[in-house]
Amino acid sequence: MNKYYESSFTITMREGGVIQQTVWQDHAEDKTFHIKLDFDERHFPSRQSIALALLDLKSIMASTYGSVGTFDCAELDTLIAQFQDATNPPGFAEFMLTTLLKPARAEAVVGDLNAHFTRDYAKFGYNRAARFYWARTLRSLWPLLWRAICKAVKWGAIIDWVRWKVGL
Amino acid sequence: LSTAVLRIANFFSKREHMEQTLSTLEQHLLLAVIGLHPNAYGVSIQDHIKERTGREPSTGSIYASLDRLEEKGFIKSRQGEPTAERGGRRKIYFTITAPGQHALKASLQALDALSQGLAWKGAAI
Repeated sequence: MNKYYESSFTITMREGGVIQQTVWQDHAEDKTFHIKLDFDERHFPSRQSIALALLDLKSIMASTYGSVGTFDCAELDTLIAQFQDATNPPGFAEFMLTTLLKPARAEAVVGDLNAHFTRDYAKFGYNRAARFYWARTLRSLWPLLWRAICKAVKWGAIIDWVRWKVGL
Repeated sequence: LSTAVLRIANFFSKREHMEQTLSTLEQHLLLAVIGLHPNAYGVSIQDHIKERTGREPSTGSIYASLDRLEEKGFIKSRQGEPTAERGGRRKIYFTITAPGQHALKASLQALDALSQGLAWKGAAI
């Protein structure tokens, strides 16, 4: 299908690789600008890179369409915020998980929670997905905390026994 | 002295026995790891268990149990690739080891032996 308007931009990321942005409108009366972001999986962009790429796009679009007043940047702001939220788990939850687990395990657990979030986001939208994310995180904390306590108690008992034997 | 030696031997044999027994969740996890091989990681294991049993264990309890199973030498793990839907975080793939298969088999056989010949009397189902 012929598109009324199509434009591509390339943003080079700090961590290597590029984000290819394509923006289009289907027809002249189409009030929606469709945005597609493509990136190389080997250079996965951080949330900051995605947000910067979108901000960059926003300024390009604003300078192109702002003068004729047909482009509203408010939706892009929401999109940027959602991108940041979508790839950014609540900081405190992530801190708890990284305290209780080895770094590689913490990365896998946070990744699993993010995967659930992405699925829920597509199904239920941001608000419900965020609530589910918190519920899943809180449900996950207790078993990990309990395991950390058991390990600490076990090692404490062993150290006490050695101290008692050695007479320290 | 002989009593003390016997007690110590008894303690270690009991401990060894405890380390070989598996909880229900551990059984489910080992079965899922075998069923999903070579694609067994946190989310796929969770989905598999939910689909087959109707219960969804939390991500935390899955990883706490997998950690325990790895310490016992029943499974081993390797780091996987990061993906977009995971926010760029890597997966950890799990595979069962020979001792793990042995422990699972023994655990399932014990359940089989206990449930064999039951008449299911005493309560209406």
